[in-house]
Amino acid sequence: MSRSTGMTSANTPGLKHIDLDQIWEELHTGIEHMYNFQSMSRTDYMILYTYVHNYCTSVHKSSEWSSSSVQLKSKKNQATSGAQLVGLELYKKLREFLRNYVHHKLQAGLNRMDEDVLKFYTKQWEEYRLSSKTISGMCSYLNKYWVKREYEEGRKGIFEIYQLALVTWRDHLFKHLNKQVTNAVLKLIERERNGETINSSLVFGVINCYVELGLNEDEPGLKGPNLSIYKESFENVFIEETERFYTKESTQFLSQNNITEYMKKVEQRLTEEQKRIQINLHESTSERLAKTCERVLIQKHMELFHAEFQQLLDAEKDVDLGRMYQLVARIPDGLGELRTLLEQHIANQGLAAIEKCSETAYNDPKVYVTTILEVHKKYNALVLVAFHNDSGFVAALDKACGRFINTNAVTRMASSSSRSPELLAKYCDILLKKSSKNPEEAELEDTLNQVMVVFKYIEDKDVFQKFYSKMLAKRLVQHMSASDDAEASMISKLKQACGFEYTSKLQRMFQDIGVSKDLNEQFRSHLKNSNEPLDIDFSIQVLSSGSWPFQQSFSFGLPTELERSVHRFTSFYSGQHSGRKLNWLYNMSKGELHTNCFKNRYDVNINFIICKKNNVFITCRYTLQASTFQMAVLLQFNMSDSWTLAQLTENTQIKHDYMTQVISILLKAKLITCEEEESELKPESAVVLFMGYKNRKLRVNINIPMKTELKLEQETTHKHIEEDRKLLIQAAIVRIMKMRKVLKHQQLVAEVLSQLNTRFKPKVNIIKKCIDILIEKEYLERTEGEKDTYSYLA
Amino acid sequence: MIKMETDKVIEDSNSNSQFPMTMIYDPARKKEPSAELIDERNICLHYFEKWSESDQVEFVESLLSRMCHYQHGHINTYLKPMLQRDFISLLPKKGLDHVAENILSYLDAESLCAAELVCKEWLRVISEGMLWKKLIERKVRTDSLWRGLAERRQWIQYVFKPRPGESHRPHTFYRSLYPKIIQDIESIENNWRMGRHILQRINCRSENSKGVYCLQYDDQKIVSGLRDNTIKIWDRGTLQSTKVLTGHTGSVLCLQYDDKVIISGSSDSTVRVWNVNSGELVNTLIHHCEAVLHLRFNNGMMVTCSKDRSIAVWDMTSQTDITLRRVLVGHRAAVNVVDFDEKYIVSASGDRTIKVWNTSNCEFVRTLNGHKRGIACLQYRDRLVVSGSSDNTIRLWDIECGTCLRTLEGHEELVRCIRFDSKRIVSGAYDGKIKVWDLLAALDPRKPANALCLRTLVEHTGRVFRLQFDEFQIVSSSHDDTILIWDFLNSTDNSAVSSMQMSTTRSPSPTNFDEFLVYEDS
Amino acid sequence: MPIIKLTSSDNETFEVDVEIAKCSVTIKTMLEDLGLEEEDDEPVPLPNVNSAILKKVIQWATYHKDDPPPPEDDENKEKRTDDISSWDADFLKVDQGTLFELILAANYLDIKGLLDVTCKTVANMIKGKTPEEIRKTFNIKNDFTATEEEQVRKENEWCEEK
Repeated sequence: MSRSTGMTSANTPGLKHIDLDQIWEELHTGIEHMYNFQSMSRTDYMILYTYVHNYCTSVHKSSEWSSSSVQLKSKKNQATSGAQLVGLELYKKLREFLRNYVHHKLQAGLNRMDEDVLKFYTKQWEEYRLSSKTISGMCSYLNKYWVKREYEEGRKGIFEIYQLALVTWRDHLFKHLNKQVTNAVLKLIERERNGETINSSLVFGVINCYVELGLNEDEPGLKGPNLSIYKESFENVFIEETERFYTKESTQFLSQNNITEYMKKVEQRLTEEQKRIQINLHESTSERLAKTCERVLIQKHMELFHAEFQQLLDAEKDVDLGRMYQLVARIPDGLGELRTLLEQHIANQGLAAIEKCSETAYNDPKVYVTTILEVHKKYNALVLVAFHNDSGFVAALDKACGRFINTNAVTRMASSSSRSPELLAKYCDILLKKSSKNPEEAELEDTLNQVMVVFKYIEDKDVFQKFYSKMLAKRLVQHMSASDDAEASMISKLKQACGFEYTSKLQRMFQDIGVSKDLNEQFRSHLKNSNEPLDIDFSIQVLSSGSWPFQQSFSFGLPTELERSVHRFTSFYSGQHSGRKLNWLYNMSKGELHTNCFKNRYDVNINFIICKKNNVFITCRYTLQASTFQMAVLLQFNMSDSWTLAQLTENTQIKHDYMTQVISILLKAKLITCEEEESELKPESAVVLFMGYKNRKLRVNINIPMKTELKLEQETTHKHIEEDRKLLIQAAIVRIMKMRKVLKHQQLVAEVLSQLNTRFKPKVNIIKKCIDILIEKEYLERTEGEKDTYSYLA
Repeated sequence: MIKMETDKVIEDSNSNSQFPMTMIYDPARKKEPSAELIDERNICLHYFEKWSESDQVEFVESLLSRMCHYQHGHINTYLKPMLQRDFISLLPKKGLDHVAENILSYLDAESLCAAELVCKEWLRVISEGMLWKKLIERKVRTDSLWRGLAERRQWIQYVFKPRPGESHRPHTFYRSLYPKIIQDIESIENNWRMGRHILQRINCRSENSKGVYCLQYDDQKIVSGLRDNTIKIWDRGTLQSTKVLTGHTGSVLCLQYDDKVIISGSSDSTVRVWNVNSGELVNTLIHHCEAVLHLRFNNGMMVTCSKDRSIAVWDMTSQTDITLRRVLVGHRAAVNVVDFDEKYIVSASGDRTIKVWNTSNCEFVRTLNGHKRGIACLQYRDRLVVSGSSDNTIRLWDIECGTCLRTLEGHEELVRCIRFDSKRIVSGAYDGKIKVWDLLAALDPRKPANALCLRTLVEHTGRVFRLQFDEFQIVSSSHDDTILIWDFLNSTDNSAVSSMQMSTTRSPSPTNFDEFLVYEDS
Repeated sequence: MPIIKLTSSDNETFEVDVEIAKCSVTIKTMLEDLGLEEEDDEPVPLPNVNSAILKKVIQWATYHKDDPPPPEDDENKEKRTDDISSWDADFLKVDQGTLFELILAANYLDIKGLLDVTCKTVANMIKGKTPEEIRKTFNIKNDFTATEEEQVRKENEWCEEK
């Protein structure tokens, strides 16, 4: 290696003129070596790289300017964005080499077929690919500067060396051989579908090559293949072939097998094709292949599937139902029909189950609710397991349940959909009322959860609330609750389902009972301290008016035995809470009377019940458990053994029709006798205390509800519901209009419906009525000049 | 094997034999060497060349140590140019034109001008490398003023990759284009300073309640929110209303749009979402219990504020799926304005305070105190908050330390709207006046207060409710029921005409430019 | 860590960590193309780089071996020259000849980071100077005729007014 010093360098030209011919021979040998697939040393590689580098950085001889004569003018219409770079000659030589090489290989492959051509093609391709990568690396300096600048100037047909190699392969080999190769691949795949084992690396090799050949010629700078070759030369034909194959197979299979078997076959085929994609083909084909298979194998036979679905439901073949779901779910909008069929089926099953037991169920809440729950449980499990809890199927289940729960044989007998919530509320009462059959805590909790399932489907939730609160009130007032915890738990469940407002009254009732316990304690100690004990045992419950579903009692002549107690309590209470008015609910109160061998007759033991601010209540060798009115009448017999009805009415001031009922019950209990028939009681009729009263029990409950009371109660409950609904609707309308100011009738109705649907389903004609009421009350007005539009009046 | 290049080649262009050096010796003193000396020297050199590199260095060092100071000085002068390299001329000779161009591409316009004057080769490399074109392209990519100008003056077609089938214009074209762009920019800056503009007026002609509360614009349209409960969209070309969106039952107080939706807030307490293209109402958010005074949304998040004294932070998954994330409470009066980025949510209220909240956890961070009356408007970007108040002042704040950097006085009534960019603050007040302020000067504590307001623009006849601006224009709206477009790009003033040559012809023909190509003709 | 041998044009061989050598995209590509199989002890000849410069290059690469890969040129960013690290600045306090050789080597070996920082260094030597100052810095002779110089100066007058 010669060295030169500063002095001698004066003669050395600054420009290097490297003639391509000088280096091409060496380069050619190196490249040929590489394409013969022989290993290459680092030295050889770096020397070739250096050749290319030095060539590309040599300053071109043919260049118009020289180092010493600087031009002031740049070349006219010069189209470059910078100085010219050297590289075209080398690029041309490389292209020529690759063309010759590929042409040579093509000759060797032209007469080959099937596996032979595949083996040939994949081997040649792999070698070519690897060699070209290396050559491209050696030419990276050419790629980096010369090729890049050519791109930037928008020159077409110039590629990085590796891409040049791909283009050359594509144009000079692939173009002539691809039909043979693709056919051979398709034949191989068909053999595999027919159960043969194939050499899948051949398929894989070809696919990889096709993918890589997809160059983006317009934007060569863009990295990554665009799959155009793969799609055009393989995927399209492959999909056609697949469709042909499975159309034939499915028709053939169905002619010999039933749908159940067919579904298994389809499942298996779909899995196979998915695997094929993973192992042999390009992932981008996945969707198209799946869609094609689904169309040919499932969608085309959809009617058969639908017909089979009903049969599978009837036969309860859950596993097959699940399989069908999985298959049909693959078809867009395919499940709609299945959902409709399922909904109809569940509704029919529910209706049939209730119809079967409707006679008993009409009066037996337990039978009613249990029947509903059985149907729900069964199909809920089906939806969960077979239909993967698919939201559409869950909706179908909900819709079907809503249908048969709100309208069925039982509601038809009652000619009201309110029968459902009423029976459900009664079932709750059975569960929560003290009885010999009360279940364990855990079991009870579980059953209450079940109740909530049914509750969810009830449309008239307000009806449920009315009945529930009435029965809860009775349980509380009469101390009949089986468990405070269970009551609280149920209330919280309802709160969760319908919100705070829905249960606020129930909660207040619950609280009042707690407060009353304390109050009785205080009253008793107050009596003790006063040194003026009452001669009767007296307890009260103070209830907040408004929260409790009780009718205020009419007044009557309170027996003198009770008067003192009532008075004492009243003054005690007002001493504690001034300004509160107590209204006594005599009709809800009861007491115990002790008979003194029927001589001088009753001591009183009262248990009164009251309402804060408005209302209150009260609580005797035969001990008779009696209502306040019965007590009042019976206590009269302490003064005389015989009274006429008119006298009794006069003395007790109980209204005549009530008095008749009270007497009637006492007659039935054989505590008194009368010469007239029970049905012909007149004010002049005399009743006599029956001194020979006998009963096997020493403690007798004669406090049974009066008929009129019961009937009245039912009616008022329903009437109240209607009234309450109107108020709720009006409140909703006002809320909506306050916000919207102006609204069309249709929109208003829609918003009202959506606001109230958690409570009940308002009838449109009722909403209309309410709008009219509000217009009358001048909350709203019809907007002038606009049809069906209301505006809010502030 | 071909000869590999080494670095020992010292190029002719910088060898000292070519140009005169400052010589310490008087050349006249140089005598013809004697034959004897020539022989001795040759023998020395003969040995010297046989030695290894390190031996050579050691030898020369020992020679040097034997010499005296003035000899050292002479050698130093001899050596120095040998160590220098004319990179820009030499690299192309090594085939490395791209490296020379890369070096030059780091230069700004001034240095590039100087480089052109170094020597012929430098001038050639700059020309061949199209460096003026590259400089213009870089400016267009990095500077929004350049970008906007390139589009508006239509020279953007000459930069970047030529369209298919077209070629670049010659280097001289770009070389003369550059100063013209600079001149154009200066004239626009001048227009701002002098308040020279072309005014376009949109009269909204509202039926009942008149006034335009809010707006936002782009190159095609202006979206405005009106006191008459409607949102009106105007075409920038025709200045006609193209769409009227109805639904709000109260005045539209605030709005913002992107490429998908318009979101508006109203005194009817609702926030509504509209499809920006079709104009249909896609969503209504009912949350605030009084008027929604301001809202901002970005990147899946929205913040709204209300007369109900609260701020609501929303997650926007889609147009229809907008859920309340948090409610921020703390202000003691109506919250008039909010702004936010990834770091902070900033709110200002009638309670005279600005509050800063953490965007990711919605926790309160700090309060900025200073305004003497309620705050009506504010913008926040990077570390800077600029607020306008009913105390007639504008304040600039550092959000991180919460300090007031500067108070701008000048408005005579409540400052209702304010915006800033990297150069300017533009504010609008209840007396109908719009003021343009120099932001950089305002941030410089040494600048006197009277040097801050660049211009006062008086055209509105009612309260200015809202404005937005960019490098070229202000668009403002007012209680007077008009929207004004103040165009500073194309001012009416004649002194700017020279640079306007490019702008007045809507599509400049290439020959227009050739007039400037003096370089080509020489 | 595996070692690779690099041989300079004047036949001096350096042993370098493979990871450090891979700063050079040229060497990295070669290793990828040829594969790293078997204990290949064959030195890599670098006939365009002499030992003095190769030493410098290895020194630079060693210091920068844990750097994140240099970002692709982001054309949307301003081109800065004031972001040279202090280590690099010290490293490049060399005579112009050495700086020139480093540029050639960085280009040949395809080391983007080194090429960038050397180019920036040269650019900083040009920035803010008058033409005469630039000539002095690089020892360049003004070869313009008076008329030519005057013409270019006139064309660039707009810039000086500021």
